[in-house]
Amino acid sequence: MNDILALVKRNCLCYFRDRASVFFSLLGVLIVILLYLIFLKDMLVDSFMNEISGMVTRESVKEYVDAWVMAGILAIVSVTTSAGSLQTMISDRVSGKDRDTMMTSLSPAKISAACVLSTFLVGQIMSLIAFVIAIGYLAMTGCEMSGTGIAQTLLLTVPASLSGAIIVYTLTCRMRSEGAFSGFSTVLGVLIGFLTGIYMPLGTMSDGMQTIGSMMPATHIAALMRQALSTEAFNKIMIGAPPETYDEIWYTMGYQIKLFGMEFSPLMSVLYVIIVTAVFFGIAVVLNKRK
Amino acid sequence: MSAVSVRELRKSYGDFEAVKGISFDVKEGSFFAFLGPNGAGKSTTISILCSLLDNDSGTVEVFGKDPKDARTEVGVVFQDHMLDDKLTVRENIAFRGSMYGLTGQELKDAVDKVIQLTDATEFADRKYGKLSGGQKRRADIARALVHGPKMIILDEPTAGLDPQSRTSLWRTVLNLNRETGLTVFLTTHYMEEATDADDIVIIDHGEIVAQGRSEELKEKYCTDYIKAYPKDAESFSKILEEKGLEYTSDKGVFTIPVKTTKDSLSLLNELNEYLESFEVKMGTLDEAFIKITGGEYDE
Repeated sequence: MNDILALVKRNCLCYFRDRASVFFSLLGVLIVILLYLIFLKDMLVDSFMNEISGMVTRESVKEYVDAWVMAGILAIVSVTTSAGSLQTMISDRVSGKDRDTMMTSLSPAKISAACVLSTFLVGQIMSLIAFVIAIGYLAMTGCEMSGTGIAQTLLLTVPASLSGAIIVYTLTCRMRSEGAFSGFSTVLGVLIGFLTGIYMPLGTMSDGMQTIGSMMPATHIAALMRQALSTEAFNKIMIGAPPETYDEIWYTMGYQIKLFGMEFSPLMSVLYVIIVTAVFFGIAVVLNKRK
Repeated sequence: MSAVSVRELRKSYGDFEAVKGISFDVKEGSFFAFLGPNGAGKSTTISILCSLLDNDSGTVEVFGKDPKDARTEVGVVFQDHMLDDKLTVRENIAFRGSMYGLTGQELKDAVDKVIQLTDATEFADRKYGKLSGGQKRRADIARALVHGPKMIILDEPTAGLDPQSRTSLWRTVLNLNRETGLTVFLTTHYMEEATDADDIVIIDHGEIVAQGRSEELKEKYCTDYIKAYPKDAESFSKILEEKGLEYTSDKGVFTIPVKTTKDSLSLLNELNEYLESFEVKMGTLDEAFIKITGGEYDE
């Protein structure tokens, strides 16, 4: 175990000592938040005000939309930042540095495990930083949150980072070019926010997009985080709304996932994330064996 | 026991045969030089010895074992730098040490020992990326030794180094071989670096073209020669032809091969009256190498 940990530590150090790379990873997260604040927020708030016809103040809708977006962003931070740590793996392979690691007593399986673990750690650390920023912002603007909700959100960052690390690792473990990898991570960073319904509620998209989006594990994590972090704010603006309207908007905003006619309870969403992640893990093992 | 034993080794990449059935042995504790021009098949052979590449046919044994099971008994200094620029030399070596399963005091001692052995103390706490080429190479060697291997493989370790770094690196490697009994397996395309080797194998186009001790190779392939500057080129060439001597001439300078430098004495006496001046030159290993590998000698 010590041998794996040494490689994990080495991978993490290589990432964190590259200050510029860490800075831009973080900036990537901050930019999404800023983009939301500058461009998306008013639009989302406006469409909500139309939807729920003047029974609540614009202020509480703003608080709600804030909480909803922050929960979504926290769900994908680990996915977008895991690319930064996997960069080390790719450049090791491109430069042939991996040969030196292969000469040690570490088996290929252990080398891959170390790679996934360090990616998880980087994603987790970045998630925690984003968590502090998001919760700080929400608290500052006076958004209503429950202590349990905050604790649940914090806890959810762990499966989010782990599944993000494993899935992104699997998608990139056969890449042999830094150009391909950086292209992939750009596409991933742009797409994931849309596919998981972070910038635009999933319920407002076409059926096809909804199906694709609902299949992403990150969408399920986002749903769980929204439930944990923004249910209070949601209830506050839904006071007096008829149950049908409440349910409809609940689904539209992606609090609960419907896929192929199946409604996912929180437990089912957790299981779904675990199963999909396990499948990707299996694929990675097979891909690594065939090398 | 042989440190390395290779029999009828073959490896192709598609249609290209990189290694065409070579056989050689490396004695334990010896200094072995594996020479060849670029693209001769050296790196392929090394990759197979390190089990980083599978051979098509033939047998390879490293310390009597399959290369896969002998990885930890071998330390490799790759041609490219393998350590991390952002980490210090000590961190780099310690991480690699723990990847071999070393821990605690044992690891610390191992790291200190190899840093001292390779004279890397001075820059051990500096970032690897900030070091000079020669310092990086020392760190590379320290890393290759951290797990206490019985053999070190150096793949063109002096490529791109200035003459001073090259010489001092050489002294370090020789010392390791002579004093600690470490088997040294060196690949190079500089023949002069093989001068101190116990055994030399020269490979070209995937085949072994010559092998032996450096003196043997020198005797077999080197020729000494006289460089003659005659008073009159035309008449001089006639005289050489009359005497039935081999020669080549270039812009009035004649090169006449002789068996040994001593043999030149009588010949020079004979030619004395026609000569303006002369030089007697001893053949070098580098010339022998060029001869053996058919003149494909870059750098």
